[in-house]
Amino acid sequence: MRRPAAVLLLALAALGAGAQVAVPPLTSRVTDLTGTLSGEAVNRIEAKLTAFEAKKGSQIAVLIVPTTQPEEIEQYGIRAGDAWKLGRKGVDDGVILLIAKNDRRARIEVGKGLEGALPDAIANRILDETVAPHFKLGDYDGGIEGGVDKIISVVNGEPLPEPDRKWEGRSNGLSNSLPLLLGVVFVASGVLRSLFGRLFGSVATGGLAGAIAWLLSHALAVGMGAGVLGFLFAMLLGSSRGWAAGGGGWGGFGGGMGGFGGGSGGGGGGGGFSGGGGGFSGGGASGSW
Amino acid sequence: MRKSAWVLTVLGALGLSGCGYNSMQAGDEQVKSAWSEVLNQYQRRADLIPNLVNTVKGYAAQEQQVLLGVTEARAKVGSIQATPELVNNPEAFAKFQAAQGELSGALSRLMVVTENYPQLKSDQNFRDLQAQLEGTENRITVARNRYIESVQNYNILVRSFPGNLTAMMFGYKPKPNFNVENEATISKPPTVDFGAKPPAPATTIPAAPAH
Repeated sequence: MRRPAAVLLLALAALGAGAQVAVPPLTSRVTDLTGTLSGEAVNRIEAKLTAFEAKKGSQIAVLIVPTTQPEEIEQYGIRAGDAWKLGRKGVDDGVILLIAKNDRRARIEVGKGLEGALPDAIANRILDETVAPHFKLGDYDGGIEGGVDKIISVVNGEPLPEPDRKWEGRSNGLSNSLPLLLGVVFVASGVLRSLFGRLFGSVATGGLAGAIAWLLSHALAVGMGAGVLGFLFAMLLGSSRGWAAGGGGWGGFGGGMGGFGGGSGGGGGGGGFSGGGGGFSGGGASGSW
Repeated sequence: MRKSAWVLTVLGALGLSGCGYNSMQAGDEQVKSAWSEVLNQYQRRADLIPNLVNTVKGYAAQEQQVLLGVTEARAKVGSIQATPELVNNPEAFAKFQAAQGELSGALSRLMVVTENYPQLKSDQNFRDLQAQLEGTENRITVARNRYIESVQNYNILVRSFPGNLTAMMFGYKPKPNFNVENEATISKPPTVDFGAKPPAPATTIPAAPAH
């Protein structure tokens, strides 16, 4: 009678042992789950990394966990990279300095875009020659700060897109095709209004404009804004008798473009620290001490 | 009248996306790009080998057998045309996998042997190469995992209703996935050999070489 229960318990225990260590949520540039780093060191490193991102655009973060068992540090590292998405989208310039303290393992996880500046061999040397010697003496502050300094200096030598390109890149699709969108709304409003009447034609135009803007910008808020504007524009155009009132319609749309920018900016901004959507593909190096 | 035409068009578009045709296209494309990444990383590994073999030879020329094993396995991999279309041909896919698995085994044997040569281990060039090889093996693992995921998603789409009807209509087949290469070895306990270096032991160390 007891046997099945015991077997079940054993199986559960095995499952529990097989569970992966969770990747903590990304809230700051230095995440120390072991309480190893001193407060000043954390502040210093964070200040350095913040300044570096402002200057260069690359996102570098430090993660210290007690252990990554039962996974290897490489497996845990790519999971952290996928979860945190450090670096800018499309540029993929994120780096994680990962320390598994009790396993005595360290890893530099390199974003796809930095594999040229920080190739595996260089990452390995940083771990071997800078991080590990400090760690061997128990100087975790020095090892991590030294490692971060090396990573910064290596990435600094790489020509990367300017820091504020992040925002531009996101709205680029929309601003490039804005004239086209205007034309579509202009033509569609005429056709649809004559088809469905003023109100429904305007609604249809608004829907069309919204759908196109949504597709182009991948942001629902932008699409909805464009939809409302398209509707207003078509209504105004319909009420106009002659070109003079049509000018009023254009004015309305101009205000709407201001609205576009707001929508985009709202999507990009946000308090605290978060990854910019960079991708990782398993590059980097691991080492022990 | 015109209104009904509009409605029909919209319904038709919705119907097509509802039967999974569009997601199948997206899934197919995703599998292809995931596979290209796998090939890319395998190629990267193959490119590293000549340099690695030459460096090891400089310090451990007597390890003829192991070095030869790596070179031969690499030649075998190179003889298989690794095209993106490989994913649609399960047989060629399996052959390609077998060849790559053999190369993984030969490489890990080489890395084990190098442990016996302290001078080689302290050579900076060798250490860089070793880091590159480890990094590439890790990239291969990541790329393979992503491929497995994308194939899984695609196959679920193709096999489950109503996607299976669409797949039948347009001739989409489930794609082959990776399996554990050393299944046989894993189910066998490892053998410990205290004799001379075995020429080609059946037990292979897992793909990631010793550090």
